[in-house]
Amino acid sequence: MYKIFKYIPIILLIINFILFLSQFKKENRTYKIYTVYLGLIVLIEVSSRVLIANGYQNLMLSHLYFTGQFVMLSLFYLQLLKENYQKQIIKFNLIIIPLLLLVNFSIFPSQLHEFSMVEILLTSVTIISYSTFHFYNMLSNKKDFYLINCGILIYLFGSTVTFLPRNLHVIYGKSFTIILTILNILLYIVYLVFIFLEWRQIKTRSKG
Amino acid sequence: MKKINDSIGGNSVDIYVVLGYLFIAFLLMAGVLILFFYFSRKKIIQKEIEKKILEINHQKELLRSVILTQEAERKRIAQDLHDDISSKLNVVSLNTHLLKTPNLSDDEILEITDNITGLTQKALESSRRIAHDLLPPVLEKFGLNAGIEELIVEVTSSKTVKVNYLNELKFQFEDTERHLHIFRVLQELLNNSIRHGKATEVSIRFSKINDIETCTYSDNGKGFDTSNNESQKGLGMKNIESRISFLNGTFSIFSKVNEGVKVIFTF
Repeated sequence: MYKIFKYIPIILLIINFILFLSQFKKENRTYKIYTVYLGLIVLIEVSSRVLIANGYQNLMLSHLYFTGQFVMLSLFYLQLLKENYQKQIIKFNLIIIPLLLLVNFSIFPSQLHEFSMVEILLTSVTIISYSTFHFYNMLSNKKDFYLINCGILIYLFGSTVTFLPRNLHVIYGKSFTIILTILNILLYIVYLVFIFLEWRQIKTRSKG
Repeated sequence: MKKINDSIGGNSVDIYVVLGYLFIAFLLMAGVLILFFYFSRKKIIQKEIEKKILEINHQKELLRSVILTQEAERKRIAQDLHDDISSKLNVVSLNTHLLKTPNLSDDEILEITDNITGLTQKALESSRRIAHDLLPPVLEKFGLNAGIEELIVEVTSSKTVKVNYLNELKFQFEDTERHLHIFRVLQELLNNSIRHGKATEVSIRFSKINDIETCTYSDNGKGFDTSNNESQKGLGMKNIESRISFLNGTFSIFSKVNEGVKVIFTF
């Protein structure tokens, strides 16, 4: 049951990615960046499954996942947000946070082989604040990418909490990891549903 | 989404560190939320203030137009009084002085008195006309319907314009103040149609639309471009707008160049 359950998000993710690709040419740059982000996540997910199937450790990919997600979503919000000061903040963070992480990993290289809490915290909280920037802008402007923004906020809020204690499995054992994974998958499904709804809305809008 | 492999080795994991991170994460998120709330509130209040300022400016504009109209009306009355009545009374006064002249023949006296009676008659008529223009007595005595009918008779007497008038409403007699506004609006609209629109046919219709008393006015005149602000900013239009706002009604104009004007207002 748990094994099948674990495959639901990746299937949904691939479906979403294909759907987003189908409108790729017609839509604006923000949409394109988001599609590339989905592509990157698909790539990481698939290669992570492949690594595990072949008996390798996939934790190194988690860094690619968090940092990649951070960079792509930063670019996404850089396109989406219109206020100049917000763009400045994003550009600044886009340089300073990878630098901080680099410094962090060079001081504590052992963190490369586990979930890096500094990485999770920095990248997630930054993206969450961009998402609230967008909510703030939407108070008076039109609601572009409203559903995706909701999805990002919900998922990152929850997933930060489910990712941070991951390393505790050394103490609490495998069942602890399973509970956190299930919670995370549930959240991720919610996020994917939001992405799908957004795609549907964009499609009907571009038709009309 | 990452699956954890059991083979993490050698790294000691401290539960307190994890709790510390979780705590910081929650604190930061709460901070983000509070900042979001704080700035959103500010923004919403700012928007509301802007809206109110716009409203106030609009009201000021209406008030200004009311005052301007009042001044224009005063000027017109002053001119009417000066041209029609004062000048005639002047001549009457001159004529009465003439009567004092000694050794006047009977014929001369007769001529002078005829002059005086004629002029006073004319002055009387002028004063009646001025009073009538200011407030048609029919409106007060017989109500809005009769007032409008009389207005139409006056307008059509020049034979340049035909007016179709249809009334499906029953106007309450007590509502004279409101009726005066409606009357003035129609007066202004007719005036516009004839003077600016050069219309030859006008239709006025009072009816109940969705249980709201509505007046639909249309003409076949020159019309104007509704997107052009100049034509909407005229004193007459402002005057109509402020009167309808007194009636708590709505007001909309539909017009295109060479396609006449259609005005719908509720009250």
